[in-house]
Amino acid sequence: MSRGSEDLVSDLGSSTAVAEQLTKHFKSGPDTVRAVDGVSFRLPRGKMVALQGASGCGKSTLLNLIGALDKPDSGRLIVDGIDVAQLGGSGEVAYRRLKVGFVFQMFNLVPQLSAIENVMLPMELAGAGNSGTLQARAAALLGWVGLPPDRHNRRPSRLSGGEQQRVAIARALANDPPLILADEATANLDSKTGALIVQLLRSLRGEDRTILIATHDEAIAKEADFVIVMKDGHLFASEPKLEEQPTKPLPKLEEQPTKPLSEGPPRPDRAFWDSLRRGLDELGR
Amino acid sequence: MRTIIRGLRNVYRSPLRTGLLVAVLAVSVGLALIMITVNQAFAKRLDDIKSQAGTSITVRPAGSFGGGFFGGGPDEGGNPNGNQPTPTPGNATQVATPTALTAADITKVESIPNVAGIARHITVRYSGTDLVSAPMQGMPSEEGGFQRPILITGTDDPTSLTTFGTQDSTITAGSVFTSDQADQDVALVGETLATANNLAVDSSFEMNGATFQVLGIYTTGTQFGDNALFIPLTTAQNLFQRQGEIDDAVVYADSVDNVNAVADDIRQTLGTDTVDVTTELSIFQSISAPLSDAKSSSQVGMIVALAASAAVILFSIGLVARQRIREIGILKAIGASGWHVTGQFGVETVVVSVTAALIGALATFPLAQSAANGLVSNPSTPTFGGGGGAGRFAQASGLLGDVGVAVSPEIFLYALAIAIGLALLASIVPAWYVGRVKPAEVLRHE
Repeated sequence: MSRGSEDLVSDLGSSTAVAEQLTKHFKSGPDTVRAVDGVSFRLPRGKMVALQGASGCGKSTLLNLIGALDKPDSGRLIVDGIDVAQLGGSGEVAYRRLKVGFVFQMFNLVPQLSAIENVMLPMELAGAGNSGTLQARAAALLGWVGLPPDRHNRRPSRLSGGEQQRVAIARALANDPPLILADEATANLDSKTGALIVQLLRSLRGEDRTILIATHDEAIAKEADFVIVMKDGHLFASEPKLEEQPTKPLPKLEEQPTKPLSEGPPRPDRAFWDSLRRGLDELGR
Repeated sequence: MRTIIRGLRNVYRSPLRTGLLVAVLAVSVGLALIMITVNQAFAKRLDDIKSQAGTSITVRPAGSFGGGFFGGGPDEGGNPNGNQPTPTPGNATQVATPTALTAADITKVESIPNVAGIARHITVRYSGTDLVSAPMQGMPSEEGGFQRPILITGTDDPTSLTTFGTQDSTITAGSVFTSDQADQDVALVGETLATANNLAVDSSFEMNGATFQVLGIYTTGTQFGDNALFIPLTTAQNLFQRQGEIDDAVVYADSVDNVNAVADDIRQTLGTDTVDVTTELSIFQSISAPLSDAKSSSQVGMIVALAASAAVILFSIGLVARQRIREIGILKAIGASGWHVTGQFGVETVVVSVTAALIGALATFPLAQSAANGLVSNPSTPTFGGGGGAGRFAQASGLLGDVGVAVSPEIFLYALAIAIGLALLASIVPAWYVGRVKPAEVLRHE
């Protein structure tokens, strides 16, 4: 017997997300691709979790379901108290704005916007603050991810891959979501830059921010607090590794961020949240 | 507001793409506006012609059409001087009436539906010595030689003085005769004829033994037209012993739309072997045929240009939206609603459309007149027997040669309307894409 959303929410405890029998199949000609095939899991709050598996195992589909970019065929998914599978229309839009931040493999920045405008965009869409406030917060976020000020007004085409991914991370943080989803975020970067990006993502985790990073790279998975292994649409292992993980020195960044990573990204002030009240109301929070 | 600003900014972020799109669209919109302007000019000119053609229908005895001042052109049998003058009392000859109309014919015409009025005329060429013909500019002195005849018209409608095909006679002194003076010896004298005979208002002159009082002086602006005089119809019939005869009648239909129907009814009532019936409208219509053709061409051109504009913008915005499908996916993934994305693309489309429409409108000013001239070909010249229709033809031909295209400020409203229409149409494309794009699918194929 399937449990109701209320039960799952009450079970959240220290978890950011809970999924139960989550399923997503695709039709591919005469065949059915079981991309996500009845998976259940918990994402512990404030941790970095690696979703490890080979290409095509269903990692991206699972991230898309968690990010409300796709709808599950069946099953339950609760993220930060929101029943994601039941979202629709404005609720879905508000969830994408406020509850998740995406970091993609190909960066997916809006090509005709500058770096700082890309970071401002989610805040603008959410109706937060005024232009000056948003610009200041975007600049602070870009500073935190290590993008030099002279590159804030450059378009993505004039930034390196690593810089673009930093901008993408800053954009994902813009509305201070509780869950960051990174889909093969280092696959398009050289190993050194990839390692820096992983450290950046790792430093995002905090008291109320969880990082879920999908990767096929075992080395990256080792950086996570938890690892979930996915194969053929199924989750095979979920092992707590936090205590076993030795503390590693932060790699030297190419550019010195304006704030040390250990302090975490700049948080929005009360006024920022007040300006997002309408979006939060859409989510019933 | 931020969506609008973002849409506005996006237009200028890709200047090459925007510039090309605006240029192609401006050509299409400009062409449509030029066609609208030219079409309006043609329509106005055709209306002018129609209004000037009036509602008059000229009824003459069969075979007399074209029997003008000099005896007319060839008749139906090819006789170059088929309308031989008939001797009349005194020194006057009757003009071109093989068999004159009768009062009974006119009574039949009066009973035809939609006939608003009838003006009856008899026309006599006077070459007696009571009056001296006005000298003609550029012609040798007539003294002792050829005496140019004076045209005398008896009319029961002095409010519409028609001589030599010219209706635009203007009274320069005195007044016209009234219905009370229908059988009195009163006259309206052409300006040059009056000068040649030292006549003025209230002066008198002798003609065929009768003494006429000058009631008014008129001018037609033509040498032949001013070497003539008008007297009351009954007076003329009595003076030249042509009681009950009518040389021609001008029948007025109650509206331009009924002119052809009334003309047909007259032909049917009196018989086409008895009378020749001509309408000013038909003359003007045949002369203005090239203008009508050009108007039709401009209408087709306008529709084609508008269709091309619609196709251009749909195709272009379709391509742009397809190119930017990933951007749509990104926007939706980071929390843009469908309205946000559609609004942003909508603003971009409106800006492109309006800019193109304004450029097109500005291009209309110098190009519309050339387009109008190109569309109006030279009219084929109808052949007239001479006299009667020549003046009207010249008048109508003059209208063709002067299709002035005035580009009014109204054209900017048309441009705006086209721009908004195109923008609304083109907005369907991104709206369709936005509704269709699933971010997970778009971003999956990276």
